[in-house]
Amino acid sequence: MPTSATNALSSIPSEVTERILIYSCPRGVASFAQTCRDHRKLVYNEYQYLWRELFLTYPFDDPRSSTPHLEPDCLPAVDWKQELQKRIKAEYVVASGRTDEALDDALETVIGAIAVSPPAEAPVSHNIVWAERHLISAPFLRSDQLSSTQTTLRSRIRAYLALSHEEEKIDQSKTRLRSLRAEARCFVYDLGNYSKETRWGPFLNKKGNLEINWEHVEKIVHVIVFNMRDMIPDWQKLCPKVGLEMTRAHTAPVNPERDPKDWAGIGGLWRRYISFMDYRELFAFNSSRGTLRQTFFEEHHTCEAIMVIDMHLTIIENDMPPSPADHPDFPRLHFKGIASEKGASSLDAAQAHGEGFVHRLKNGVILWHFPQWSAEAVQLGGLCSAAGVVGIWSGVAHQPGDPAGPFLMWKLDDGTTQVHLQVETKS
Amino acid sequence: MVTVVVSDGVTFTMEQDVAFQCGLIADFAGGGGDQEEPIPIQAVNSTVMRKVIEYCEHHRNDPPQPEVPEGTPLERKDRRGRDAWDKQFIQVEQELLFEIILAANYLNIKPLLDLGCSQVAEMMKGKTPAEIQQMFNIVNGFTADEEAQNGEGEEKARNLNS
Repeated sequence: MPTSATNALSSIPSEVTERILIYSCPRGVASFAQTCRDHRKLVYNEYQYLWRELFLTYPFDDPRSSTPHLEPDCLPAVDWKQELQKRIKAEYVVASGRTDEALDDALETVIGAIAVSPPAEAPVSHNIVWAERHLISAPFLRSDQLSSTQTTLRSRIRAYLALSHEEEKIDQSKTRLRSLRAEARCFVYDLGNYSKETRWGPFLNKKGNLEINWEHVEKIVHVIVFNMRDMIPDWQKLCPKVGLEMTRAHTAPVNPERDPKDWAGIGGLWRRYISFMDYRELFAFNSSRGTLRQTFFEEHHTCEAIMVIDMHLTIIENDMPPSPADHPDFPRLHFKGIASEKGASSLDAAQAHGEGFVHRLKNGVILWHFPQWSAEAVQLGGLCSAAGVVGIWSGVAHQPGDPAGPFLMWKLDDGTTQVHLQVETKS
Repeated sequence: MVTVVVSDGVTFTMEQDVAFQCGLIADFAGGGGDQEEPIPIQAVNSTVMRKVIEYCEHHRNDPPQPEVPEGTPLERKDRRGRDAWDKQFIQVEQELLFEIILAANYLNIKPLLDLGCSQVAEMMKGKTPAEIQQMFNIVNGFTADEEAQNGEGEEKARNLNS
């Protein structure tokens, strides 16, 4: 290396060097930092300006302008350097197919980036584009080598993706998707997965505290999305769009007469998509054991039916005191619902009317409860997300052998034609 | 008309709309009519000044750049002016490139500064630390320990850790 020539970079002021780095990619900046001690200092001891520019030009969404829907408390200070380093590392780990502890951090980072994507007013979410780009061919999505922590994190990501990354084009993926569907049905229709401790919903009971059971949520989403894919094209028009983009806050249609109190976007027209098994089949499945059980859904081709009902929800007053578990900025909202006229005629009165409430936990999670319909559900994604609410309905009396099944409900434009239909699905 | 005299004694006379793209000259002349005395620009020599004036003449009819509030991401927006002419213009020897950058910084010509900086970034793109050292004649001065730390280089660069 010629040492006689002068170091060109040493002649320019550090703020100009910084400007050069802002135009570089993060990896280029990392290489630059390894060229000499001064450069390392310049890069890593720098106050946040350089890192903020690198972060935003990568590009990622500005977390200061987003409505974080999972951890509302994480907003104020952004550690640009740390966050950028985490995301770049996540990219690399996710692509590498590693399954050590680094993958835990990477998946948490991806979920965190999705969670702070900006609400729908921003035309594009850089975070969502980034997450989709790196998830689409990520080995972990299909790996069977994951730890239980990783499986839970993956379930959450797959619930958000709602199979939008999977196409049934080649035979290999067909086989895999068939087993994914069977796995999801086996989990969701296993009545042993429902108990008082978990409120007959997709929850875990951790020492008296309810937490979301992401694996359960993922299986519900899978059962429903597979069923939707089976519908004839005319009926598919009734189905919502799914995928990461739909988990962004405020992507659901807005009711122009929305009550200002209604932070959850309850008021208005909803479509509820309910899947269930014929009772005899459900009973036969739950009494089966071993391989018979594993192959049950291959043998029973038309074992599932679906029902689509539109309903109107309205906010109502309620004097129930707030729960200490709730997020203080989001007071519990009570509502009543009525199935749309067309639908109501074929349902009995108890099914047509109901009340419920929505609340948001301190960790940002939004839960929906429908006691009269005996249904428990979770908002998929941010506040008022178009992805909607997924959950489990069960028998009101909760007697042994009472049925249970999955449902998805999502907000409609008030101008939409209302429907009520019931169909059977193929396998 | 505005006249300047640079470090090697050469004077340049240019029209006001060309000269005032340099924030420094605009501030100096204060916008008040023709200058009688040439404005001294000690930090720039005539070779570099010629390049600077060439740039300012080409961009004399550009609409003024809107003020960008503090904290907005660059979004590569400063590259929008980087048309084919700019690309050609900035293809110069490394030494001259750095002199142009210094002059743009001193004279306060933001678009030219950004053009120069993004060009240097372009040159470093995809290069390893050793290649960057060689390109800019950087003597690393790392101790053996630090060198060992750098040794895990590849992964570190990928992960952006210090």
